[in-house]
Amino acid sequence: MRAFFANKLAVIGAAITGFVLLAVIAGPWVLPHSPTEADFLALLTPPSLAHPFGTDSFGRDVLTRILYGARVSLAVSVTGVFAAALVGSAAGLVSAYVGGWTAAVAMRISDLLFSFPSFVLALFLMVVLGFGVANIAVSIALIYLPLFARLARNMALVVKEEPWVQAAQLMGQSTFSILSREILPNIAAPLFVQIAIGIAFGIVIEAGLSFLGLGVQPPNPSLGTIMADGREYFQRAPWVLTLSGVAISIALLGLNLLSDGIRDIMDPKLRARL
Amino acid sequence: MTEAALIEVANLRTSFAVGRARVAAVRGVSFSIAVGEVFGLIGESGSGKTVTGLSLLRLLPPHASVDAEAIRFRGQDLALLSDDEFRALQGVKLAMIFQDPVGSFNPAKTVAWHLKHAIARRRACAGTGEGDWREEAAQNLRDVGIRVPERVLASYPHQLSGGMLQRALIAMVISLRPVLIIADEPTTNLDNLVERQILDLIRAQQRKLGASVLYVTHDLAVAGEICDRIAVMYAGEIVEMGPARDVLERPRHPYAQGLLQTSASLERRDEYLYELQGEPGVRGAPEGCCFAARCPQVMPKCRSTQPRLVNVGPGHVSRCLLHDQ
Amino acid sequence: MPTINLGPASRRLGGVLLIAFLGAALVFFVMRAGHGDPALAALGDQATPEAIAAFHKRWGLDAPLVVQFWRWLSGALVGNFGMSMTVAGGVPIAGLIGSRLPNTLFIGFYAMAIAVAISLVAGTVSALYHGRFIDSAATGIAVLGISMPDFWLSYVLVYLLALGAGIFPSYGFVSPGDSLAGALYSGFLPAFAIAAPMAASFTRILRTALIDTLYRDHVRVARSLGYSGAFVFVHYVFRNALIPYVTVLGLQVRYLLGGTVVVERIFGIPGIGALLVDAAFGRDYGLVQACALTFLICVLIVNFLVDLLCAALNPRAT
Repeated sequence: MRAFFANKLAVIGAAITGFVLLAVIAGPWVLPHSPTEADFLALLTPPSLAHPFGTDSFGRDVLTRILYGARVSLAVSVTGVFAAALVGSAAGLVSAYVGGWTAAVAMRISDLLFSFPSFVLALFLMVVLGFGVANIAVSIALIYLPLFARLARNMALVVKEEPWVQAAQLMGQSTFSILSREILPNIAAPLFVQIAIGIAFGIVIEAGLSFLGLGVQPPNPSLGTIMADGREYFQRAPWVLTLSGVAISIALLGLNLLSDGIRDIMDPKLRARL
Repeated sequence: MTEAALIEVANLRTSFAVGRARVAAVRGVSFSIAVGEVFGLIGESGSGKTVTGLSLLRLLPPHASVDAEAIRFRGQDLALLSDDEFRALQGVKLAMIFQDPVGSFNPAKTVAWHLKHAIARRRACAGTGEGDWREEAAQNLRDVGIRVPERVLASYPHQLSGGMLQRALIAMVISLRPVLIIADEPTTNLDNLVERQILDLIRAQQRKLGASVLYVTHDLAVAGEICDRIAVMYAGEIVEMGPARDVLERPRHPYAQGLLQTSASLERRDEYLYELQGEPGVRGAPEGCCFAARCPQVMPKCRSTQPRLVNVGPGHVSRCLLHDQ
Repeated sequence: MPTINLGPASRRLGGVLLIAFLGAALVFFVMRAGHGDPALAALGDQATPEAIAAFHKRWGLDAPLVVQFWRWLSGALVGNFGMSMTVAGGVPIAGLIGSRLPNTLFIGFYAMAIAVAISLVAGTVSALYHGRFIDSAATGIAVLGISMPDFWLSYVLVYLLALGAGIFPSYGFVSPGDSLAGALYSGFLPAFAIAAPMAASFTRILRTALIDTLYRDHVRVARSLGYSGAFVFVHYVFRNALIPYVTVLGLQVRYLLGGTVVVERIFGIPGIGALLVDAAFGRDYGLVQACALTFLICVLIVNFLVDLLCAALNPRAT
């Protein structure tokens, strides 16, 4: 924990991420505007005191929409990535420990999913499952499932050979208790880093799909639909696209710095040289 | 024996930056090595013996700082040279053989590539180009006891054993014809039989080239085998120095005595090993003797007075207050 | 150059073919499982049972699924993906893909080249000066780069360099088949938008790999022999850091090709990414399948080549 606070990047990343979470959770309660209700008296007004981020072509407050939208984007990404982390790492751990042909087949399938361009896979799954918020989360989960399975499996295969795990085995601990008490704590940090990276990339996937019109459907806001809206009248009202883009970048920056920082902390060998 | 010193080191100090603090690894070491002499530097791990060798060759990472009154090599003060001027001496005058032969080679290149560039460097420095480098490389490998040099030349490092690589590394170093070779525990990672062969090899090549060797080791038996003179290091200081036979048969410093007793006890396979008390490398108070914290014969004044090196025999010095009495 | 051993290469090729086959099966069966009947999509919910039956007969949808898969796959193997049902109303899919794939590959390779060029320079400089200001600056820019998704960066680039400075066109793409110079010029902004986040992660990988190698024993040995700094860096440091760098490059190809989808849409590039989006909107399942499979095969081929390159770079691999 002290190492964490000594790492400036990790602290800044955590602070930004915390700020984003707070804004997204508390913001919509504090702000007086509705994210979807049109106000035809205030179309495309530039940023002002009443509307700090301006309004869009329906007169909706852009700040409110961004916060609601970011809430949707984050919720989708977090749900998808956590589902993938849970199922994927459990599958990876078990396959590392049990092995056999099921593990071999599972790894082939993960190789396969791993070879699709991730955004193409997401698009394909959206076509199969149908456009909409919930299916984006499912797509993200399916994209990340093989990654977590692989990561957990590879790390477990290494940790499994460590003498203390071998000792636990000789002492007659059950496979489940070895997995949960000896192996999981030792691979938790890299998994956590991957979760942070995954959430960042999940936001990008959601925004990309919604931006194309294949994800969240208007008038519901998500970071992607707001940007897609903003692009329609980019020349006349550049603040909509610009500010929603900046919002995405801030969220990604926080998560990227956080994952970078944790990675640095985990690799003290490299840190000592920097 | 000490008619012409090849290198004279005066008051060498090396420290490392650790966070904001500085940790001293070598605390004022002075010695000289004569032409054709094998000089042993002995001590436990952390005693500063390896850092001494690396300091002389300017091979420490940037967070280390090296400081010396003088490092005179053939009358020239190495401490005054710029990095570029010093690099001109590296390899062709001063060279090093490292502990880990496997890690010493570029894993992406064949042994032939390594030897080719070493030979090319020597030829570029000497300004002569005699014959095919391939023949010279093969001959160098034969000289270090490799019977089928062609196969070794074509091999990548990972395809060869540790002993074979150490031979090839020695062949690479001697193809540069250095006059001072710093050997840092070159046999530690090898098994006993190979260790013996490599020691003989270093001795033979050193005699053939007329080179001097600074041999760094923790192993007294190895030191006794190969060294003409020995210095024993503890916590960054030389505590005893003299002809190898004198130091190993009649050590005067309590630390050297303890080290020797442990070694003898190991050799005799005693049921209870003789063991120096205390944690290795622990230093006494800065104003006292560095060994005071572990010395079996410690006296009250050891903790307050710094001992100086005093003569205890012909060419034999020791740093202990006991000698004053 | 070390010789390439054909045994492992052909085994790897077998693995590639197996995955391509599994991919085809996945694309086909998942699509059918997810969306029962393409007829409903093509004809609408109000279609009469007769019309549906006729549609089934026409497209061979009345046969068992496995048979349909076999027909589709054997067609695909000889470059026949059937007809596009909706998008272009009866155009052969293979022809559509064939005419658009070069544009996507061009943008992909262009982006890769930009990312590699940036990362080689930035990674080397920040490793050589690690811990100093220039390294922190490069790292900072890299983190910002990773935090700029391609569709957002596209607009920043269009706004600054196309609409603002007027240096590049904001829309319209000249196919490399018509004019290579025109394609390089008109494709720069889209390629750069895809490349920037890639360049950032490549830079970090190269920097880490270089710093890691910089402190390895063999580099110290090379210094002890008095070799020049440039020689040691090129042959001892860079040469060995290249292996992890190229490996990561191969892993990132799938992100890079994924990036073409959105960027092709934004810049109006007629590639298979934009085609895939059109097909998705039109629910042209045959075309979606074919596009997804084409993307998969592109990634597999590039990864196979990268594997061969890694094996050639790393004598320990065989």
